[in-house]
Amino acid sequence: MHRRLLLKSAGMTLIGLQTAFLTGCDRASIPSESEPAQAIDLSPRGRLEQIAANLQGIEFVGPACVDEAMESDPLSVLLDDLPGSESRPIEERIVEAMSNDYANAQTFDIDGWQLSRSECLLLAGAALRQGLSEPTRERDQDLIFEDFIEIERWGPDETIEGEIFNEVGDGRGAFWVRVAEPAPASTRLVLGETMLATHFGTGVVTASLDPDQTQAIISKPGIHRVMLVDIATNNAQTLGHLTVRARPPFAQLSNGRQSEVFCEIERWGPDYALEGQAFNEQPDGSAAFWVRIGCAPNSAELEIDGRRLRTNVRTGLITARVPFYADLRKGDYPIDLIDIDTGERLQVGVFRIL
Amino acid sequence: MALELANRGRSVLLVEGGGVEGPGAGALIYESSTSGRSYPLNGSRLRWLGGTSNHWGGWVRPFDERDFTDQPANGLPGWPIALSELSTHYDSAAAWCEVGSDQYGMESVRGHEALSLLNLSDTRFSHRLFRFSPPTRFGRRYRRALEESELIDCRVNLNFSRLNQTDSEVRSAVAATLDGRECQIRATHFVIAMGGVENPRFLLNQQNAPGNQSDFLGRCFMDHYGFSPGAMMARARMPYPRGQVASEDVMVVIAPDSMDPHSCFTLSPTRPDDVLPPDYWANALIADEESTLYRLGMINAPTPHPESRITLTDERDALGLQRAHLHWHLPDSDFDPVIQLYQTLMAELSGSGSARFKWTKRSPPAESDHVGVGYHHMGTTRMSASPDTGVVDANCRVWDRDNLFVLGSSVFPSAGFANPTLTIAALASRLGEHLDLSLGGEANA
Repeated sequence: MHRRLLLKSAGMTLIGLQTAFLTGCDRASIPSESEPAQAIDLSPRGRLEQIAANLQGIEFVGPACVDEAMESDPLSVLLDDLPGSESRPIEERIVEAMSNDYANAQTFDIDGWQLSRSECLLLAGAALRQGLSEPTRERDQDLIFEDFIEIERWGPDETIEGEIFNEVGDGRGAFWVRVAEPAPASTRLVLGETMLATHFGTGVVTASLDPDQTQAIISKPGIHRVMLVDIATNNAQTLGHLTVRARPPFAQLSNGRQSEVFCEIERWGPDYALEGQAFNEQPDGSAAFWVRIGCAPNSAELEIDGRRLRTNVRTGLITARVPFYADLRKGDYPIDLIDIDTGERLQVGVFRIL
Repeated sequence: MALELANRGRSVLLVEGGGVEGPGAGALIYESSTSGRSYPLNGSRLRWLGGTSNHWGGWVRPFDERDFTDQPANGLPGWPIALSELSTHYDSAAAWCEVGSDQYGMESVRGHEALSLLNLSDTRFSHRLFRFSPPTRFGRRYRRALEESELIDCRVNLNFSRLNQTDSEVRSAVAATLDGRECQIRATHFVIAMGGVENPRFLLNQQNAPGNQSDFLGRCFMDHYGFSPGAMMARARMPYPRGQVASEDVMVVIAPDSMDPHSCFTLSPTRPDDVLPPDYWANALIADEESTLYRLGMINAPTPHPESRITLTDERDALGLQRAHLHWHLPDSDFDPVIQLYQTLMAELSGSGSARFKWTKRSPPAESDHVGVGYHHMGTTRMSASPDTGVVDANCRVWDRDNLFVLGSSVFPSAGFANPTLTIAALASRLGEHLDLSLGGEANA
């Protein structure tokens, strides 16, 4: 909503489809230390360029800000909008601008992160300056960014490097979008610059990416804009981003070897319960475990004391119900994750019944 | 409360439906059904000496002054008593709960640790403290005291099943064992302290249900409900989680000063996020310091809804009492101010440069989604200034019975984010004093 208001206030409704993200770009535009020293530009623009060139940690968020800001020269826009006189240090003026943005709800949403408009302009400029994204380029047909479908939910919005998101068979990654009303049949889901094969069901739109393109997307960390485009009207509606996260470290197995399928476990629970009580009680009255883990194959299953549990594997989270919780007597019960395909066993911890 | 009364020289018959160390054969007495939002009613209740203190996490904090407001919530009046009515009893409660200190101000966090916390001075939020009980398992901890007291007769595996009453008082009560034996109990005063579900269930099971003159008995069931709206990037190693403040077993949370709802934010470190990694916070222009990503949880002040209620089903338990049914009404509209509160926190802390926020949950959970709860059953025998809006008066006495009292969080007409145990213990201390005075005792100096 904030973005929409901002765009309207800036008088921008027509923009070009642009590159969502390029990973692995070299930073050719950053002078290397071996190059001859150049005179330092102390003008506000020069100082802003220096700040932009040195910003760290923007590999994901910078290109996304390029997408969101939709400015060919975001640093110029930022410079024009900065409060205060040019005699003040530009850093102070940027901080003040960011503070004003938050007070006035002038924010951009980048994969959930709430960044001030000024901040995003700076990051967009930095991304362009550092060669993290290509400059905006126009396509043959301009898109009109105006919401045209009421979206209830959509997914997935993240995966792990090398892991096919919501795999639907044959190596295809797929998206689903729950819609409150029927979507026009001319609607297509667009991931980055790629238009996906899109299908329509009752209350849901699905779309899948062919195996080669899926592999290209998941082969390295990155962030890719997801949107719906009505190809009949050129209306475009941004859903959000698919984030491909770097693969977390693989877990170490009890035999000292490194797992080939399981990443390290972040946390799990519950680790104790009272005898006879449904722990982490589910809506149907049964008990359940949850395991936060960086990665796990779909063929993973949870075991309690050697008893296999019906297991649900999602990105970053494994859950399993324990229908026989009432039969568990006081004592300690080992919890393990088993990969059915490879036979690998990862110790999760010990569950105690009090 | 039994020990408080015994300490004042009063004789007490303490009747416990469950056993000493477990529910025994009575485990099924609490079987109940639910509708509305999913609620783990069976798993959240324990039926033996000490009750739900047997799975208590030990979180301790008195209600704040603003929690005792008599301002209406959802059209229903709040507490008819002020915080000052409970102040001395909170001290007593802290002792019963074995909390090392009764100080809940931020002065307990000093020096470097205080400076490490977020600077909230220009915001509408402030820091608050939770302390922790060991936690005290009341049955186990005070069992010997109960046994050794010459003034307390403690019976276990004995269940109140029926009140013999007139229109104005309880004359006697019938108690029964699960194998069908019955006895009659006579006393000058009767106190029902069975928990937030059993209190209304027991009273609703009586002919001419006491305290139901205005149809509030069993209504306004509340629990602290959770909501995890997102995460926050800020200075590394801030001592918010429990165990991070040296020499004090405390947990620091963030709560609004006067905005509603009176919820709080808990912060716990989590894995860095790829999109906004720690390097970003280290940029000189942004913060120039090491960062941590903190997962934000919210403990939310519930709203009393009359349609959120305990009723009776046609099915009866082994004692012949009709079973409880909970309809938990937690509408989407209760989440709207919660989400707005997070938006305010995001705007104010981002604007001050103290943090950046990730917003992951922007809408109320679907009716079928799991909502975290505190196992805090509140509101079902609400305290009120008038018999028209509640079940018990300011002294926990059932409005239309002279000698029948209700104790527990079921008397809370409203609640902030603080856990209920300390306030339950304070109300027990206060009720003990009140009963002693009504029997001719002298007030403490």
